[in-house]
Amino acid sequence: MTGAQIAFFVLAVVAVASALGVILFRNAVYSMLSLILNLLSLAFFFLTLDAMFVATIQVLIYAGAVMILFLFVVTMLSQDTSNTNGPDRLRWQAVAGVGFGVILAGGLIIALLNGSLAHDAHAAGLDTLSNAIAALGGNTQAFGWALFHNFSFPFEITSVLIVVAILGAVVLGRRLTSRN
Amino acid sequence: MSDVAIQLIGALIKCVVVIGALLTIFAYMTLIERRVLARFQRRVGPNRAGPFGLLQPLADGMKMAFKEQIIPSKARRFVFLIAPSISVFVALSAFAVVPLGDTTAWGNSVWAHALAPYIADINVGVLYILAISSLAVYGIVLGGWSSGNHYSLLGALRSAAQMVSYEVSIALSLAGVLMFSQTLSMVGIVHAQVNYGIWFILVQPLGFLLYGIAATAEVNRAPFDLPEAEQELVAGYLTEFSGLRWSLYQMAEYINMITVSSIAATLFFGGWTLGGLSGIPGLPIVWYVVKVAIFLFIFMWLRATLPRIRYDQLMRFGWQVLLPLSVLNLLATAVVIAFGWPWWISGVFGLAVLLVGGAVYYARMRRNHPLTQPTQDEIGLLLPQSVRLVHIEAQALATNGTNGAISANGSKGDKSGASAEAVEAGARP
Repeated sequence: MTGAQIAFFVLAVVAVASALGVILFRNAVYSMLSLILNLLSLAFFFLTLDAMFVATIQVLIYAGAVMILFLFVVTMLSQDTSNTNGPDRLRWQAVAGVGFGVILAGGLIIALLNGSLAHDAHAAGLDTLSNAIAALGGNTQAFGWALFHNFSFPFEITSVLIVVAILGAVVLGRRLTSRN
Repeated sequence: MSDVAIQLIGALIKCVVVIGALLTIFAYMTLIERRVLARFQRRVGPNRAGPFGLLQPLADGMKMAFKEQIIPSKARRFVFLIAPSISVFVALSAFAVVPLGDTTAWGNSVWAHALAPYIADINVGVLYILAISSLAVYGIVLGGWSSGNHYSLLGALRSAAQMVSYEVSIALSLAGVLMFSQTLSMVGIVHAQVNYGIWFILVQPLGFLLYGIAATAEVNRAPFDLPEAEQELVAGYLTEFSGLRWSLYQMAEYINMITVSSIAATLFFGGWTLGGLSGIPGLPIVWYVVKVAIFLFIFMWLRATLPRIRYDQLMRFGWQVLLPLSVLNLLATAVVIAFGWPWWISGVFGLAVLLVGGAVYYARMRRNHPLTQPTQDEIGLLLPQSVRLVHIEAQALATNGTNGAISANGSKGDKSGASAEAVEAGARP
């Protein structure tokens, strides 16, 4: 077994165990801690794939910013509300979760079998990530090249979506304060 | 030996050296800070243990190691035990990409490259530091939450809100430098400054000031040390920690200060370079250490000088002053880069914003708090009766002439006796 394979299996165990921890812990804070562990192990997966930039962004955005807001809310809850020891009132969630999980797994398998690499990258001889990184002079450069060449339209659309979300948050916040 | 093996051994040696050096510097930073603060307050400071108190950190360390580590009965045991380690782990890892010298600092052999004075020069260096230091808040929040104490929880929540608010400004204020250097690698940024022939402080004066303020808030140092405000929250998230776990938090705070100072020295002040004086082997590390030491002294200076700001002021300053200014700085830098203008336009713009901002702030301060000289009557009125000043009492009594014993010709003893009486009289009603 090569080093990369050993790293994959160790990380896979950590990732699956922490993902199970998210749904099985009774205390919301422990669930959240396992989610953070899960996100960090995903960052390590990106590292083993030579995608250092994506790994860093994964830590910066998800583990560093999003989860801290989760933590902020969860720790403010009192002991009683952050413990979910009572009967499960949302039984249908389990069924829906399994259904969506099967759909997601199917989609991932199809994407994997088809090969998800962009045609442009094939043409430029950049058909593996390591080749692209070597050709473009670094991880950050490779990411920027892909983002602003192949995916510039989705990128712009996403930024519009985020601006709309920010404006929505401002509008909702305003209305609440003026009512008070 | 293969190249990979040499690289691995080199990295291992460097990790051990860096961790050992950081822990030693932390120990002596506590002594230096206490001595410096003492000088600011016209005291002597700890000088009993060894010459100049040099053995004080050793004594403190021994005391901490043998102190009982109390675990509160309401604490969530597991999280309470690992929270301080998270803080130290994060603080130490962030230092990995800080360069103390050039790749060829020790020559050009394989071993010299493997032992280059940084642990790693990665393509995403600055982002790595930002990512790792954004995890620092977990140590504090989990420590506060797991203590099972309301003061601890309040301190932890404050620090979470504070660090999230100021992290954005840090990233945006550094982005201007990154645009000029065209790279995220820490070594690459220093090389970019050598190529330009200037330090980026000249290009980004506004960015540097914004970074300095936001970084002080990020490492929870005075005047932004609200998470451990002792007048309001006992010691914030630190309240329930004792012994070694308490000193782990202290360690994390000081190492974070060193990291933050290193970023400032590397991105804005040319890192290990100093004009043409960086070619001599060994000297670059000296320049680096001198630059970082200056920033560390400024941290202590700020702590000795500025009062802690209020929580609402902190939030308003972060979101309404710091963030818009860093976006403005980013936009101006982007325009300069996009049109290919010379670098000094960005520098002049930054200075102009600083001057205008300073003038506006001064004018508003003067409008809200006009300069007035309080009269002596006002002083008398402002003070509670029990603390009325002796000489004012004596003067007032002498001019009123109510007490016959006091006269201009009275002996010294008489006078002091009468003043004491006057103070007593003042205290009685």
